[in-house]
Amino acid sequence: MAEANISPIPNHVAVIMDGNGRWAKQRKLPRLAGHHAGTENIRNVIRCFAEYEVKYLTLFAFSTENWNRPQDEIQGLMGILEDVVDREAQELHNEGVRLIHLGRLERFSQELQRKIEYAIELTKDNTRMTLSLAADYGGRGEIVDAVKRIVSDGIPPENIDEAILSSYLYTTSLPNPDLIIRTGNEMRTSNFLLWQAAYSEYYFTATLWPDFGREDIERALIAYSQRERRFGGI
Amino acid sequence: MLSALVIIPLIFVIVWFGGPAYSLVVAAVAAVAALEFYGMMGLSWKHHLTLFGLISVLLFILVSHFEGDYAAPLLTFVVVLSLIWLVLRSSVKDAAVNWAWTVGGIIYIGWILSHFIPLRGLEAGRDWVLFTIFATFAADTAAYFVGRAWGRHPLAAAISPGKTWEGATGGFLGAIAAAAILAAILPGIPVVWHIVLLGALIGLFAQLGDLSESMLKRSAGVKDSGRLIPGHGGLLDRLDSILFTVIVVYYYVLWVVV
Repeated sequence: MAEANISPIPNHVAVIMDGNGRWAKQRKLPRLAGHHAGTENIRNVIRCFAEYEVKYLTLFAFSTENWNRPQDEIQGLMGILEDVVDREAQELHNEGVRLIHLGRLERFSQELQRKIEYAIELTKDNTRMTLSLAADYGGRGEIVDAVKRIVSDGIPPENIDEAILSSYLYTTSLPNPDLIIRTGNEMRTSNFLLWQAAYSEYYFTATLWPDFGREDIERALIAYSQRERRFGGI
Repeated sequence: MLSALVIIPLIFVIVWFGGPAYSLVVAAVAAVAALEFYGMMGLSWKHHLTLFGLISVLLFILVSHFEGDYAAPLLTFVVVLSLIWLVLRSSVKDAAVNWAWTVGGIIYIGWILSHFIPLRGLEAGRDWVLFTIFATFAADTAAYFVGRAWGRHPLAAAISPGKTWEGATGGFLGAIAAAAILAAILPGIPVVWHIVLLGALIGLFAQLGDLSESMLKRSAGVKDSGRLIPGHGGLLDRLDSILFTVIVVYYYVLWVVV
């Protein structure tokens, strides 16, 4: 497929998929309908980024703070998550996508944990693209967990550097995100990839996540290609 | 295509013999359709509103078996109980929306599909049910193939981008032709001039039913109503035309024929 010639293409794109609730409210639908539509959209977005040859895609599906939402909604979200992982595992595998998980698994149901682990195992040798699902993920929690493990592994302070700490994060096998997109008209990081985003380019759009499509992706990639990344240099 | 070869004789046999098997199939179809409807709203089969909706839908199918109008008291019961249910289980913010969609689903699927029970119970009901199913099937199939071959002018681009006026005309004519043929084949269908009119109404309402469901789907931001048959959309996508046409046929038989 001849994609518009955008260069450079980010190696790793991360997305904060915000706006499901507002989308549903606009249409007088239950909130969960927004999450459902948003989840249906994930498939298109993955495919689109794969066509642009983005190698790493990270999606922020559920944050450690989301546990504060109403029970109804959490149960609904867990149901949707389970349904999606179930349905899409084979599809991802067929498309050559490797799935990994960022965050904690322990707070999910046994069933959901099993399904996620199955999908990860199934796709572990794929090379076309790495899809990282950040679910029950929190940037601060991630750093705290890393520090705890560094301490319990007995690493002497003088040996601790950025590389070591990076290796203790969930994202140890991933390069840092080049582009972080947040949909839903909010401009904050919401505890996502705090450490890794040190030099990431942020792109904010008012488009709500269920509506985020090919054109929006293209706009985001074009915007990225026009940024001058200096990493603190000149 | 293969699935059609299996399903058509199956439908024929079940409708032909009627009885509890027929009722169970109607109930099962209604249950799956309800689950798909609530699934489109993001409510999984485990959600308490799905449970409420599902039970209500099945109750509508059930009471349609009894003499006398139990649908009215059931509807009253559903309206009141659904609100009480939400008072107990739902968050205030979403209450109005949740209520509207729950009750909407119960009426759209439960109330409408239940008409298959009394229709079968009418005189020559067996033939009328077969008539409904196959005339609707003809309308949809004709619309699809004519649309594919000659479709040019979009019918309702905002709702259903694939539909064309050419396809719609094809469906309309297909239904009329099917009505005439089915009247000739099925003994219970009177061979009168207004059967053609019924065919026309079926042709019209089958497509309106389809558009209505597409509209709801689009509103909910989903493409298929479900995944019953992989790659073939959901059951509701198949049923949407017949939801409207069963009503048309039922009232036609009630008011015109009988």
